[in-house]
Amino acid sequence: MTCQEAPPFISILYDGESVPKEAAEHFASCPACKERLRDYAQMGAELRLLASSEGAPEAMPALPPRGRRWAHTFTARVLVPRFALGLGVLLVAVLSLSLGVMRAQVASLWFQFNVTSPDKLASWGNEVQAGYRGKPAFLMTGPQGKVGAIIEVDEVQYGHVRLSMRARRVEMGPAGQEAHSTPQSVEGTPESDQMVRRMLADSPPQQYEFIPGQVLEIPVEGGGKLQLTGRVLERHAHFWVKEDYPIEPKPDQIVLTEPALVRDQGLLVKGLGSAEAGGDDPYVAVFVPKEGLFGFLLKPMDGAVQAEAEYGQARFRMDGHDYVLFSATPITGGQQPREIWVYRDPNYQPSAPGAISSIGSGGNFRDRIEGTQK
Amino acid sequence: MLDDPEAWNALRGGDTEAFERLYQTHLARLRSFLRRSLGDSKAAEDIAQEAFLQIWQHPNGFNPARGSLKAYLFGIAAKRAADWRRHRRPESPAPPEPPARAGEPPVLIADALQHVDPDTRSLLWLREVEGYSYQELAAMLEIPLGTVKSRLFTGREQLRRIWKGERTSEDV
Repeated sequence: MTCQEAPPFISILYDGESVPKEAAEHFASCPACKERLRDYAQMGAELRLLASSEGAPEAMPALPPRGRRWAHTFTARVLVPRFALGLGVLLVAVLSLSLGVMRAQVASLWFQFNVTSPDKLASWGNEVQAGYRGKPAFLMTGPQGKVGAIIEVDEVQYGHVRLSMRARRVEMGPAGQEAHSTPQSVEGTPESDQMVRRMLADSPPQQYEFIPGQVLEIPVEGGGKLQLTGRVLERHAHFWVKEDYPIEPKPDQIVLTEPALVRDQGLLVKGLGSAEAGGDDPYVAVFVPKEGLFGFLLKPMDGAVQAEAEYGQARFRMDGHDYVLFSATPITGGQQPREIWVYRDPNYQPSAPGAISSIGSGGNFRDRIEGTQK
Repeated sequence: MLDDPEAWNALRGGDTEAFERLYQTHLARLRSFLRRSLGDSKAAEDIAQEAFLQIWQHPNGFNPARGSLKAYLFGIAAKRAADWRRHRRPESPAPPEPPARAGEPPVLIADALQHVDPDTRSLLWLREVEGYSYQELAAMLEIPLGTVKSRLFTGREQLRRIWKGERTSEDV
């Protein structure tokens, strides 16, 4: 070890710590390093002398009582910079607004539901805001039966829906008097509302707890059970899409979601609800009072005209008029545009009184048309 | 004289007499350390009072397992002194070392000390005057043990050079 390498070890040695053997051997034989060690010792002694020569103890100042600082914090006047005050006020405003928005969101939760008839041939769906009663509806379940229903959403909390429902099955008159076999659901016209209310006037509401994801079976007065499915929405979706309706339907599916039918740039019908069908020969039927029944099919049929469907629109010409069918979701799947067919039965008469607009699907369209024509 | 645990329990209980004993025992040394560390008597006085007050107001900050009560007090003061240097004074380089001339008498140790880097000066004082071990210094100042050793060596060399009036290579 050399004198250039030794000084750090001198400092350590001076502090009473052990040093490597090499360093110790060097110090023993190096006058310069010994002098440095003496200097360190002398400096230390000088510093301690310096400290000893300074200030004598003096009286302790009065101590503040403990806790005073906290009390002082809450009671004392303090100076707050303007920007900090402004920031604080802004923060309070934002928090208040956020709280208001949160409360508004909680208050505006919606329940989007779908109800299937006991024979599973008709379905009805809509959205009801928590705390409100939904519009009355009825489901045609065959040539002689229908189920009227009213749903009320009492509360939506923690994702659970507490609801009340009245449902009653009513048999129609003699066969032929209410001649029609198309299962359908009807909602949204004054006539249908009055009809269902009359049906359910003396039917007590039944309360249910619904958890999204489940299929809730609701007994129907007069027989059978409705099947309820649904989900909670944070806001009104403005159009009803059945929970299991495909946004991208398969090539063998036809879906009409809140469709509107326009003829020669004039609106023929809208606000029907939604319907879907799949399988071998699927169709969706739309009844328009005074216009008859329009059947939208994926396969050709005698008397049907060809339409070109492209996603949410289908255009066709029939009886000298240009029609456009609009749907909120693609009408069918597969390569777009693609052909679909439209059949119109201008003499169709629905079984329900009042001749109201409706949409439905299920069964065989040819059988239904032939049934009404008999 | 109370030992540390006893004194600490008394302080936590709000015993003003125990606090006064602590104050009288350590004030002079603490103030001396701060004067040398800061080079400002008024600031040293203020910070010494603040350090004592911190112990009185927040008696739960001390952990007997980590060192003595005195070391805790000096640690508080050292941190406050460092803060004072950072925030209340613009950063300025250390005063230039006094020129060394052959044949002149060595400068006083107090003057020489003021030309040592402030952090190193504090460390040197705590080691030489207050006698804290490497481990205690590392804990008090929250620096690694190796840094304690290297800074002490640097400080001693700096002080020795100034005190003895030795020329450095930069002086030539």
